[in-house]
Parts: sequence; C-alpha cells; structure tokens
Amino acid sequence: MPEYALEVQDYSFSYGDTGVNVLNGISFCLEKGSFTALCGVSGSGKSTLLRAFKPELAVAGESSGQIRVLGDDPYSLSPIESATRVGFVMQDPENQIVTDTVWHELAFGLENIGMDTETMHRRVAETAHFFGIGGWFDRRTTDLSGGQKQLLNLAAIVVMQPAVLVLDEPTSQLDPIAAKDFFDVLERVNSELGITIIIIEHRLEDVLPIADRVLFLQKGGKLSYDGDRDGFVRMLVENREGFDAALPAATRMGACLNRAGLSDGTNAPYPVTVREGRTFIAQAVEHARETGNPIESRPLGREVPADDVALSARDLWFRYTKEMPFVLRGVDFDVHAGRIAALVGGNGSGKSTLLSALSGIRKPERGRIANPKKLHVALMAQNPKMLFVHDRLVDDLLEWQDLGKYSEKDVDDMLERFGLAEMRTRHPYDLSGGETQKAALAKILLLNPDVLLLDEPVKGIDALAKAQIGEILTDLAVNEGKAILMTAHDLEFVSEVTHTCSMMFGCEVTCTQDAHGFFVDNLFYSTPTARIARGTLEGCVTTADIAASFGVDEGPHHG
Amino acid sequence: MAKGLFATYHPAVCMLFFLTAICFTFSTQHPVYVVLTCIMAGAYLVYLRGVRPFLRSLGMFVPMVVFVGVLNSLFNATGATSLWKWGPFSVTVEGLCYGLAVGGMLVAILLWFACYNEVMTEDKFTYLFGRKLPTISLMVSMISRWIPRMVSRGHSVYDSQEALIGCYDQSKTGKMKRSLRMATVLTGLGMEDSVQTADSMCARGYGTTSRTSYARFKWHTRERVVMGLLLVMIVVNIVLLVIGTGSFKFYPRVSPIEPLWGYLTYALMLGLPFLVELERLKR
Repeated sequence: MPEYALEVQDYSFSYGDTGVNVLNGISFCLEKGSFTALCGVSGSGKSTLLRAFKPELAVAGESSGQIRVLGDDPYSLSPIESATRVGFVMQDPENQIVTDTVWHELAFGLENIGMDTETMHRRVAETAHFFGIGGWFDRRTTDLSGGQKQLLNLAAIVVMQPAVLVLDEPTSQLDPIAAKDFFDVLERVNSELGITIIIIEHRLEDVLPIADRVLFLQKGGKLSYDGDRDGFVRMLVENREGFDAALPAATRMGACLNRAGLSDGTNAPYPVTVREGRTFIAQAVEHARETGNPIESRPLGREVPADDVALSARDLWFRYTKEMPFVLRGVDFDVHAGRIAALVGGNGSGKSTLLSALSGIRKPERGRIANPKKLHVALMAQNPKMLFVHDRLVDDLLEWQDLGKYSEKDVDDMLERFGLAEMRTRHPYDLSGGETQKAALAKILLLNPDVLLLDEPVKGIDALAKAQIGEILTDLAVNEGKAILMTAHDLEFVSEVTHTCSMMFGCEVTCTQDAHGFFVDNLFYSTPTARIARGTLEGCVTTADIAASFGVDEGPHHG
Repeated sequence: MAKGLFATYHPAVCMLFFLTAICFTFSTQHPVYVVLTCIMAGAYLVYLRGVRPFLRSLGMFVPMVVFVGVLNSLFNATGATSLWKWGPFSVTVEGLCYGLAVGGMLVAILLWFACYNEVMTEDKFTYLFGRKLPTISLMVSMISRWIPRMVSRGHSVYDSQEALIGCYDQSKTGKMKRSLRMATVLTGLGMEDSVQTADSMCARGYGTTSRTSYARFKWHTRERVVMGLLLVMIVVNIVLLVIGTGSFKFYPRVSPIEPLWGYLTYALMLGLPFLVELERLKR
C-alpha cells in the first residue's frame, strides 16, 4: 500500500504560450487522513496546482515533474477510478449543482459511474444521513440557501467515496455562519471518515484551527512553507510579507504585543482562536502590571462627522408580492454625506432590500424616501460581474461615457487609483475576486454618484484587497464628501472602516450607533478582537485598539 | 399522506390511470359519462387539494361550460327543437345539450390534468421515461434547474443596471436598449456558469460509462394487482361504451338516456384512486 495520499515531486507548470512558470519545482507529500491548508497571495498558482491532481479539471499547459495520487499517476487511472479517487469542490455553490432536486444531485455522480440501484440507494442514504440532509432531501436545489448548496456539493462528492478531497475556496461566497457550518462538517469528514483533505482558503480564522499542516505558495509559484500551523503563523508574523493581514485577529494581536515585548511568553505559540487570544491577553495584562507598564483605557465611541442628510427613509414597509410577508417593517433610516455607514445582520434580515429601496428601484408599499438635495444615488449589487458586458476592462469602463460625461483620461485615472492599470485589457471575467469588486466600484464611480449604496463590497475577497477597498471608501467619504452605505458580514472590516453601524433584525433597523461603540456594546455580535478583549481590556474593537491600550504602535500590515 | 395512497403507487400505474381517464373522457359526449367523469375528477381533485382551492378553480370552470354551451348553441342550428330565433341565430335544445356536454368534457379533462399535476410530480415523470433515455431525463432535470435560475438572474441584472443608469433615460427606447444589454450580460454570465457546471459534471465522472438511474420506485404485488385490475376495467369499459352508447345521438333529437351497466363500471374505473384507499379500512 502506498504510504501517502498525495505526492508531488518537483512539479512545474507553465501556460503553453508564455513559457513563464506559474508553478516552480514544487515538492510535498500528504499523509493519508491529513488536513492541509494551502495558502498564498492571489495569483500564486494555488488553483492551478490543485487542478493538476484531477486530469478532468487540469489547466491546459506544459508541466514537468510527478504527481501521484495513492501511488498512481492520475493520468494512468481508468476514467471511473479517476472520477472517484479525487473529489473536487469549487468556489461557486450555484454553478456546481447540475440537477434540479437534492436527491438527484446526490445520486448524480453514482449514476455517472454506472452503480447499481441497490448500492446507490444505500450510499445516498448513508451520505444524506451523515450530512444531515435528510430533512431537505426532496427539496428543489433552487430553493436552497447558499450554505445548503455548498453542503450539498460537498455531500455529492463525498458520496463517491474519494480518497482525497480537494477544495478551492469553498466558503468565499458564504456568510460567516454558513462558512462555520461548512467547516464543522468538513472537519467531521476528515476526522470521522478519514478522507485526506487539501483546501485553499482565505479565512485563516476558520481553517487554521482545524488544519494540521499548512503549505504556503509565494508569488511566482514557489512553495515557501511546508509544516505545522504554529510554524506557519510564526513565519508570517516574522516575515511580514503582506500576507500577515490575513491572519486571525487573535494572532495579529499576539504578534503585535510580542513585538512590543509586552508578553512574557515570547516563545509560546501565537494564539489562533478567540479562546487562545483571551488567555494570551490576560497574561499580557498581568505581565504589564508586574513590569509597571501603564494600560490606557480606550475612549469609548468614535467621532462621527456632523449630520448631513442625503437620503432619509421614513416608515418604510415593503414586500415583494402581496402574498409574501413584509421584508421591511416600518424602517426609519438616514444616509449622511461624508460618512461611511454599515448595515449588519443575518441573512434575510432585509439589508439588501433596504439598499434597493433606498436606491429607488423598489417602491415601498407604505412610507417614503426623501432625497431633498436631488442627489445622484448609485447601487452596487451583490454580484459585481453583472456590471460587465465588454471583452476588455477598459471598454467596459468607457461604456457609460456619454451618460456620465467622462473622458478616457478619467478612466485611466480611475484604473490607476484602484491599482488596476495592469488589468486594462483583461477580460473582466478573468479578474480575481478582489479585482472584480474594485473594477465594479471604479465603473460606478465614473458616473460620479453622490450616494453610494454597496451590497457586500468585500464578499469573498482577500485581506489585501479588502484593505485597499477600505482605504478608497474612506477617501471617498472623508475627502470627497460622498455618502456611503454598505452591507457586510465581515465585522472586522466594518469596525475598521465605517463611522456608524446599524443592526438589522426581523426586517427592522434595531439600533444605530458609532461603529466603535456598536461593537463594544454588542456582546457577541462583534469583532473577534472585541470578543477577545471583553472583560480584560475595555473598549477594544480592533487590533490597533489593543496596541494603543498598551501604548504601542501596531505598525503597517504590509509593504 | 396528504396526497392519498394512489400517489404512492408506481408511476407507471398512475400514468396509465391518467391516460385512461383522459382518453375515455375525450372519446364520449354521452351526458351520463360526461357527468360521471366530471364528478370523479372533481372528487379526486378535492381529495388531493382540499375544498377551497377546488372551489376557486371551479370559478374558472363553470363559466367555461356555459361559454362553450352558449357558443355551440348559437352557431350550430342543427337540432329539431327550437328554443328561440334571433336574426341569423337559432338556438335549439339539442345544440344547447351538445354544447354543455362538450363544455363538461373539457372541464373534466382540465380537472384530470390538475389531478395529474398533483400526483405525477416531475421526478416520477423523469423516472418513467428517464431509465430508457438517461440523457433526456438528465436534460429535463438540468433545464428545470436552469430556467428558474436564469429568470432570477435576469431580474437581478435588470435591477442592478436600472439602479445605476435607469435615472438617465426613462424613455421606451432607453428601456429597450437596457433590455438588450441585460440579454448580453446574461449570455456572458451563462457561458461562464456553464463552463463551471461542465467542470463539475466531468469531475463527477459524467460520460465515463453508461449511466444508471437512482430509482425511487419499486414494483410490489399491490402494483401488479392494481395494474391488472385497471387493464381489465379498460377492456370492459371499451366494450360497454361501444355497445351501450353506440346508438346515442344529440341530433336531430337527443336520444333517450337508458340505464346501462356501463355507467357503473365507468364510475368504478375512474374511481380507482378511491378504490385503492379501501385498504385503509382493513385497519
């Protein structure tokens, strides 16, 4: 029996036409039953590497070196063997689903490999049971939530009993709670079924606690780290190559305090989870007291620019059809110029609907929206790809030239501002997640709107792109006086970028507060840092707050 | 079981039953037969859906019977017993009767189709025809996933561009242009999606060997018995229908309606879903 589930020896890959290596001499072996996280900046060839394990999905190009799955070259396997040995879960929950019902989707792979009915029933039943799908076995796939869809995709792969499960950013399109559920199930697949897992994931917060091995790909496709979690964290913290912004909040806090010499256990592993973070910070506070370092308490609340109403909604009631329940119930809400505001809350709490009502494309059944200064309102929908129609990014940005009365130079400036100048002639669909968001924002800004309503502008993008978008939004609000309202699930991003924050629940806006006070006062719907600091250091919402409490500078994340 | 026991039978049995009901309803306008099939279809629909939804759909059906009846009697002047004359229109009793019978027949067919929809869900249909034609059944399944997705996609694309550029041009031509743009965006997104869906299919072994089917239904003794019963009843009813109502005519005068054994066997056959329910009485 082969010792390893997956062996990669000196593997290099280049797209045929350019001759530039996307992957460079990569070697590693994964033990059977291991759980490995594959990390790397965007464009480092992570997806290309994973796809090479499955001939059906492999990217066309030239490769050298060897890949072995359970000791065999994947290209030497029979088609059925090849389909079942390696399972692949992709990013988009929607596009992977082939059939119209849940049971059919589960059976799809087994039907393909010609399994007899009796065995198929048994396998499907077992799998549905393991994944807790029994309750929605007969549902139509269109009616499922995003989280359910991705669980179904996972189940539809696991039902084929793969030896190795490969996942390419499976949770990037999910909200945090659905993502947590997905990881819980994934951990069970690994620990209870013993399936070897390798996963690309941006949410280090979720994946690091369960991964027993981490691989890190550098730009240029070189494997620069292969080892356990603690070593990986240490490497990122010490090299600070820009990827450390993606580390969990607890780790960044620990790193910052360690650098300032404020913790006693400098050689202890960095904290990764909130629980570890709480222990770590309690020790640091203790240590600071002993050494006589002062701990400043943070001012509660954040300065909010003066009221300057751009849009005001009063007593909004809205439902999509008369038969359906109300999605907005008596919502009062103001959008202010020169401010960034966020709407947070669970799925189906009415956030997106409120945005579209404010934008004017949905007419409320009761109540009204006032736009006293006749400002130009623009809404960016959740899927930014929908904004593009042309083959080149630059043509797309020029599309509304006549409407927005802007010049080609404006487009170039905008591309420059968003760091997209290199992508000028790329096809908009070929951009990475973060680039697509930025490009969509650029296209909208060319129309020069006064009020920007953004639906999930940082969904599924990496820490670096998130930071860039945050900077641009701040610039737009503070320096150009634009009114910005966004919905977001990423509370850390919201706490760092916004002035005010409102919580939506049960189709109402339940509270609005300055973003700092909001996260301090919330008990558990708050940032990881706030949950780490609660009870030990009051008034801390971000890593920078904690650093400031100890009187140290957090330092730049990148560059 | 909200839908009754008959819906739990093998799709082939259900399919044959509905085919029988609809074909028989089509093939005779004998008033008693029409009334019987209407009653049976109506009763079964009430059983499947409940009284209220049934009454709501009646609101649509009754005007239809009246409409067809009146229309036929207006334009069809054959028939001996004249009721009244008005210009070129002449209404006869026979014409009216025939019209009502045809109207009733149409209603019965619609009612049977409504029942069919409740019982023969899509998965049963694809099961029935899918095993012989796996590609077709997969296609049906994929299309029925694709259509609602495309529709909701279309709405979001339309909304997103309306929210951005709708304010510049609210004219008809502006809206037309934007609809065209929406179609372009949808095509682009659709192609992008289908590449990924194709990947997902290949990754799960599509095309590696001849497909089998996840059969959700089995043949039990009950299925065989009911199927046999149904086949016998079909034969008996065809014979009785031909013998018993062969001489029945609407024109020039409506033939007298005679008591026939056929009525009973017809009612029994169409009442198969209820006969099946008798099993519950055993307990």
